[in-house]
Amino acid sequence: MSYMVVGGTDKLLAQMRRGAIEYCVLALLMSKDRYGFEITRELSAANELVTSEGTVYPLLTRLRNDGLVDTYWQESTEGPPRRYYRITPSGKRALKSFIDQWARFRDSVDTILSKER
Amino acid sequence: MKELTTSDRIVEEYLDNLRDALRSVNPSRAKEFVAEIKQHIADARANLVPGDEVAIRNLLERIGSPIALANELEETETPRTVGGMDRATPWLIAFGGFAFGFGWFVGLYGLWTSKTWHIWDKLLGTIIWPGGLLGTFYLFVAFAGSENCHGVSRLGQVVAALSCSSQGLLVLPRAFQFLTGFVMVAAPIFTMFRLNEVLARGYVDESNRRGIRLVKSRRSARTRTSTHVVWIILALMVLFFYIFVAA
Repeated sequence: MSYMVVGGTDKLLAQMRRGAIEYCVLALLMSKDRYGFEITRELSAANELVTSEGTVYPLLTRLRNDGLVDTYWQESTEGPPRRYYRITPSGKRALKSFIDQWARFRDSVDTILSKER
Repeated sequence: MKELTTSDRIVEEYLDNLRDALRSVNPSRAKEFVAEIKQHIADARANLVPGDEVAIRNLLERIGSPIALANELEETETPRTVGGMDRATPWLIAFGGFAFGFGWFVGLYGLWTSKTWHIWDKLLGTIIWPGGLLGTFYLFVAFAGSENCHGVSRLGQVVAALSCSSQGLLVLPRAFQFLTGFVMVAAPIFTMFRLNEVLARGYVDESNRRGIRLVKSRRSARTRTSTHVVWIILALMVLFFYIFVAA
């Protein structure tokens, strides 16, 4: 456990990013199953979310190990078969609970920050 | 053979650096990760103008430096410490039966409670053979068979009718007897070898939950030594068995 110090914004952002990005991946998979490149492209399109695209793959592995997503292979029209990621029922539950908590957390922080501005 | 373009060479160099950076990661996981990055690059390149060197370099920049990726991957891995029980289990499975059968059951407990082995390895350890090498000897007793002779044989009398019948393995030709015997002895030794092999990796292969695909691992000196021991034991068993069959 590291303690936050003033000036450690980069580190804080990196940790927040790491924590939140898993749920962003789950959210992306709610609408449809996607393959790795598709997921990273969507995440990169959102500003500040992914600093290096390659780090999304270890994260996908972690989600799979935790049973929040599962994978299957599908033929691709443009080259070798692709591994698709699909959200599992427990992934959906995890996402739902995160969305509730995140909304409360974001609102509380925003309220305080806007008061003190 | 297709000639490599400058862009291809840049990508190859990047992948080589990535493989180097991943040396400390579980080999099968590293291999899978490199394949994912390779696929990612291939997908991204489909949208780039061929031969655009700057675009390739920017693409690799966005993916991240090999060192940073290796660090990230290491963080997601849960290193599995191989405990004393895990180390003892393959040996108990093979030889534990000789400790009044008790050792084998201890090995069985270790096997099924451990997270090191996959279900197929656990089944392998249980089925081939129950009791380990002791089971082999029971199998010999059960299947080796016997030669029974019925007839009248009294002292001072001509034997009128003497009929002999063979049962079990003795019915088979000598070559098959040898082959069956070899399988009976070699199978539990192979099982032990296989369990040790998985143990030497030190990780559960997450890419391979069912444990069907065997992944080539980098072997340590310790594994090589235990491999030699296994082969020496196997050779001795075969030798003893040959003497037994030939006798």
